Amino acid sequence: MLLELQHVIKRFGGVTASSDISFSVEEGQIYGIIGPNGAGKTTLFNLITGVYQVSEGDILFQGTSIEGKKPHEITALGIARTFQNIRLFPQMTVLENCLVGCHTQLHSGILASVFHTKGQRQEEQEARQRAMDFLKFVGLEKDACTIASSLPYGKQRKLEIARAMSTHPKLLLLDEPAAGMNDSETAALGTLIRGLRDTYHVSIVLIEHDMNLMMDLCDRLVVINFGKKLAEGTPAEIQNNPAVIEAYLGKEDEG
Amino acid sequence: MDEILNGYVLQVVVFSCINIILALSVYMTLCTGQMSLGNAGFMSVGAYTSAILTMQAGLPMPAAIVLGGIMAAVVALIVGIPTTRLRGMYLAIATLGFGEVVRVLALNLKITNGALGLSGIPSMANTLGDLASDLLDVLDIDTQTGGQLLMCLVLLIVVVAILWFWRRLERSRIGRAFAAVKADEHAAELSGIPIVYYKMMSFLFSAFFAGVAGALFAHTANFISPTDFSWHKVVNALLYCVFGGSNVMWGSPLGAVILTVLPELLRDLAEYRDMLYGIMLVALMAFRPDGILSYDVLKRMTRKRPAHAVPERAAKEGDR
Repeated sequence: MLLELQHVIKRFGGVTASSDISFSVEEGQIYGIIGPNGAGKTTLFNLITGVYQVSEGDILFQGTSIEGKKPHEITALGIARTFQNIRLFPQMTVLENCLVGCHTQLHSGILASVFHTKGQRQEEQEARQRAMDFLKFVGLEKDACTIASSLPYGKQRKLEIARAMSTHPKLLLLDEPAAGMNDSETAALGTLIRGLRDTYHVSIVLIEHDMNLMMDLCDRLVVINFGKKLAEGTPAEIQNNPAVIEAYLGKEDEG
Repeated sequence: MDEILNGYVLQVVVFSCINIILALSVYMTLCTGQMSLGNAGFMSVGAYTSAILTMQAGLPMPAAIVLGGIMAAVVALIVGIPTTRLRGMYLAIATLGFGEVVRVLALNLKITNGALGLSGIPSMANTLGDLASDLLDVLDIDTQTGGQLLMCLVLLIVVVAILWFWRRLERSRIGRAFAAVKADEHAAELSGIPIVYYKMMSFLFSAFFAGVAGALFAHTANFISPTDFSWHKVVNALLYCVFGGSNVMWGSPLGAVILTVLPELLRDLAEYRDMLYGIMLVALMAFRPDGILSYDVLKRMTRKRPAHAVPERAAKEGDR
């Protein structure tokens, strides 16, 4: 089991943002998290990446608890993420954004960096090559020297994915990657996400509102509502789950 | 020749060099998005350390200057543990407070000779003049002017060395980490960058070079007192950075030189001088809020180099 959430509870003062959430992601899976706005989906991402600490319960990554670990340590362990509202380094070039992502893979210290030792040059060279590979994969290789903030929106989203991939994750968390995209762009994104899994053997957890995309892409899904787990299963199971239908469409006798 | 090499001109060069180092030290913390105003304090630590080591322990000057920087960095390590966790205005106020603490300490300690300050600090110009007296005789330059000239040379070399050092660092993994922390701490942390570590690193470098600037000041002015390191000093240093352009390394030396030399050129205007200085600052901030040099200006200046345009080249190039 790659990622395991065990009865995770997160409270902010009196508000319980996540209550008793458990699910697990296997290696090679594309795992979906769906639920209405404010259901606590991004909170889960923040818990998994160490931005927040769990109030109760535990999160295991490759069998070990990540409790008390700092976000950068968790990234180094192999969990990368993108953000719902894009957070690139706006003044840097596209390539530099990815090179920042390579940080944990590089080891040159101060002296090696200042004197550009042979090892350091070789390491930089390899990092550039790797970053370019990811940029090529998401289709940004021609924009490598463009300043990130001048990219169009759709490309910025792709760059976020490339930057996250540069950290060499075993698990990639994507927070609404299709937000603001049209149907054809969304379909292309679906192909890209599947390609990432197949090419780089990275497992993916995905938050998204586009149901067509989610049902098509995900191996399993969990439905969250008001911070609680409503259902979990394969796309077919979720689509036929009465509790999910009720949450999304309302009860018949209420109408 | 004599007109260029007179003591006054050389003195302005010396002040410019020291101000460049001080401005760079402020820039180094700005690199990670921290506004630290403790550099007058670190400068003071470096100056007193180097002065006392040469005067009382008889240490050779280069060693004392380096130790001055190291001492400032050690103090920064202690100060930095709580303060690098602060942000924005809170960090500025805390470090400014630290600077004042150092000043008051220097005012009251016996070893710093209180408000009277330390005088008779070994002079770099004299030392260099004596060292190179034979050469100066051959060139028919008197020892005093020659010493001052050599001192300028040494300071310029130090400035170039620091610029080289920081440029190299900025273009490495560490420099990218600095820039990422400055741009977006949250995104940097989730890209695997330990932000506290890199903030601390830039804080220590900043303190070290501020300490070196202080030590150089002590050995060029030959007299230091607590008033030399009041908060005016750090406000000036910040001004150099912001005036020249605080987002790029070359901004700090440019700002430092302009704002050191200009008041000297305006000396004839007497009491109108400060007024003009103020008007200039306001005008610059109104028309170029990023300072004289910015990313865009530097990019336009380097655009002729074709290396940036072709992605394939960018991927292969080791040093960009």
